[in-house]
Amino acid sequence: MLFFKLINFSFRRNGKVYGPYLLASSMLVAINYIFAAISVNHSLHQLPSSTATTAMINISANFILLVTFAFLLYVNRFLWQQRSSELGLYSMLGMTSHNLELLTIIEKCYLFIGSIICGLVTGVIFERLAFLGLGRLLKVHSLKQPWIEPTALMRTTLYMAGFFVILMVVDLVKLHRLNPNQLWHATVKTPRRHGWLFTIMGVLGIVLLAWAYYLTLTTKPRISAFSNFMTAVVLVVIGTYLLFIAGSVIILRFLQRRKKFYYRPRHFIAVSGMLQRMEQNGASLATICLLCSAVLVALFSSISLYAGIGDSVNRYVPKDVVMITNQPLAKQQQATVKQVVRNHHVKVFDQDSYQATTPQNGYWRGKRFINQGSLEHMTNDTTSSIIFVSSRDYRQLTGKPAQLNDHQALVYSPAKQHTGDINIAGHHYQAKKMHQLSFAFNPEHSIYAPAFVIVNHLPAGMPTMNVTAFRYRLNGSDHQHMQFENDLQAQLQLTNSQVTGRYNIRYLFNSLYGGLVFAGILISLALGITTTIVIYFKQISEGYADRYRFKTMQQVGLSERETTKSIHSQVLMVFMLPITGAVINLLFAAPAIKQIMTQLSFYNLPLMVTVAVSITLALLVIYLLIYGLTTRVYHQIVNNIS
Amino acid sequence: MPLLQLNHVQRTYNANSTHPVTALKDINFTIENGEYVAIMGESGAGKSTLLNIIATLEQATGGQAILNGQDLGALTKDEAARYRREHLGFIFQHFNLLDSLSNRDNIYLPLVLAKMDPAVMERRLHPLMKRLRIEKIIDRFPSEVSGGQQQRVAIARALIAQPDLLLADEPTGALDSNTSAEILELFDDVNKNRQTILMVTHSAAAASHAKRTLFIKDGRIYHELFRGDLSMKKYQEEISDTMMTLTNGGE
Repeated sequence: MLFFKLINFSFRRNGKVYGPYLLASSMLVAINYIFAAISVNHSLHQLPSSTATTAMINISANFILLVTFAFLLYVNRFLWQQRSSELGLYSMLGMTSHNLELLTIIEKCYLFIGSIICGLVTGVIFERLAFLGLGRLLKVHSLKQPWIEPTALMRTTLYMAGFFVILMVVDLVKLHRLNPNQLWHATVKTPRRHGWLFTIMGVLGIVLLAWAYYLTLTTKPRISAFSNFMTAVVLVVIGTYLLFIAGSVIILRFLQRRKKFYYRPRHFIAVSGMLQRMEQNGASLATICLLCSAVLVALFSSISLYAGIGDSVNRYVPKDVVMITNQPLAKQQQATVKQVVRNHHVKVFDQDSYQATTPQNGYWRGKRFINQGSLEHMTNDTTSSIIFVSSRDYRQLTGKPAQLNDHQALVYSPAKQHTGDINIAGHHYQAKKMHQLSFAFNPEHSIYAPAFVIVNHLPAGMPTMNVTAFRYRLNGSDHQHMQFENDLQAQLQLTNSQVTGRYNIRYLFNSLYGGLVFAGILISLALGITTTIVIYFKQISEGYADRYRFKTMQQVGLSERETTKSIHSQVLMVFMLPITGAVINLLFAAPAIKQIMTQLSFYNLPLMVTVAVSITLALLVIYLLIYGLTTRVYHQIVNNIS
Repeated sequence: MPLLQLNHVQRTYNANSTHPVTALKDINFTIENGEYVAIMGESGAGKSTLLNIIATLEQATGGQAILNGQDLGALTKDEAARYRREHLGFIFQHFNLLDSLSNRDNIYLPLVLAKMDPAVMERRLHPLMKRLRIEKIIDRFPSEVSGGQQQRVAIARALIAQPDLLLADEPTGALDSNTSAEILELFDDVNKNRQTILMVTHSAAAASHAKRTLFIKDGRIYHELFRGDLSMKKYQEEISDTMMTLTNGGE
């Protein structure tokens, strides 16, 4: 068959394009399959935490589908540009539009079959690995996975088939609209002239970014923190696009007007080349920048949360079990505790009990704490809570002396510190900072970071609570530990919020954040693949465009060494722009993310910094690797002049 | 001393293969300062190879090409690039202007590569702009102006470096006859200002503007015509006749 021969020839001739494309689309198919397989897994549904985990997996699965579709659309447009001259030639040689349609359909079928087969095979192989990883992250051992999930296979194939049908329709419509002459000659682009509207776009981009950064920098740990962050994300997306499309052109135009700077060999080639690139590729550079930012933010928050589970657990239960009651435990309750402890063969130690005021929620206005009382009265202003403990209890619990007069207080606050002359609920205190407080915790598990205030006398009229905490030892599985904690709560007839056990909380966090990390890594992988391909194809298309430019420059006296040098500096500049943007985005996102983490009882700043630095470095290394590989291809294209 | 001197220049492609192709067999000629010389010949006669050797884009495999005392065969690639931008000006059939640069920046390109001061560039551009009548389009882009205007810009780019030798490769090949005539008149004018020009062309009309025409066939200089006191029309007829005999083989 002639058509198949033609297609085969075209695939071989454009191997530089089709190879990476098939690789990337297969990997995306594989990731889609992995998510589909996990979301239909039975053993996962039987876990007590399955609702949270599967919800997360489902959201991620849909997101990945969206990414896959966007990727396919982008690459399809690129392939069209590459192949249009070929189709034009066929048309000149007498192929009817019907033939060309057939050719397009065969091409799409090839690509579909290729990516679905490679993708599903890879998916099936790596799904087991991924599932093992998920089990590890969730810290559960009861997960079982069949070799192949037919439902997931079907679902992935159907979605991909749907996508390819859409691509086919898009191509057929394009084919219909073009005449052979257009197909054959690539259109020459005239440099655009920009009016005041363009300048406004650029300025608007900067304003939106500044606004977004202002939002993230001023985020307080209130209820609105998350929605604040999402607003900032939207602003950053729009702002980045505007800035890359318009702002960069404005800056380059400005550089062009500075003659002493512009008319130097390096700057001359770079600035004019960049200008042309930004006119054509501002949007795709912005896309790369946002994809990198998304990878950084997703990995940063999910990994920090997961790595900080230990910290967060300590914030919820300072010992192994903590019980909050209105009065000290009655004789009968103490007997019940002893009974349950005996039944489960548990050894209890290190038990203590103290009285404190219930958490007083409110917010700081300067040095003054506006007390709103219990959680029911919280508003959008609420940022923190305060718990008073008497200095007598403090001495007893820690064994440390606390010499205070009636107007002095010791304050321990893992979130924001308030010291000096402070005013809480009508009382003035001279507050001193404490760096550590072993029994501090978040009794209500609320999003407001608690500050512990040690004073001689608890303020009159404030409701109090009694905290009893102990450690225990039990020879048995995690499950048995959890059973003991649950049994204790049931026998004491206390609510979920009154009794907190370490094993239960840790299990909850693991299943929540484990799923998050899992989704975060796979999403980053999908975004990373997409970014790589976008970069690679950009380099190829620019290579073809620059070929002619560098040829002319060599004719009028640019040496080969100078050509190589200017190619490198130019490509590097264009390359570093998005990644620099992404790192700046992460830098500004970090304070807001930190505030959101505070609400999840995570205060470990050094850990966050470590995570941020290591993922940024990892991304940089991978990015430079991609840069090196794609620049080689670019070089081959540009130097292959004659 | 002649400006350009070619002694027994040879160019063989794929010398070590079983089918070596000899583009230039034995080329000898000289060009004096201020001359205007055309080289004519059919496709495949070796015109482009010859031009490339003088342009330092290729090197001869035998013989010597000496421009202004410099043996072109002795230059390394990077030296050749520097030599090109300092001593040679180029005009191409398809103009070869960069679409990413404005016309002004296209003209400045060789000077920028030579790291010249922007103020000097502007001083040099000013008279050129007037002579070539491109003041109005100087800040537009190549894709926004006509072919004739693009070629004027290209001429300005070639002249701004004040080259020893202006090389033109089919400069009117992509232009209609009216525009061609305008461009050729510009060449006459440029030559009057003591600029040496070497032009490769197919067109007898273009060659008739030169003061001397060399005919090349099968890698050798086959014939030479001087315009002398002939009218341009008469000279053009003579050139056409010579081309005819050249094509029909033998005298």
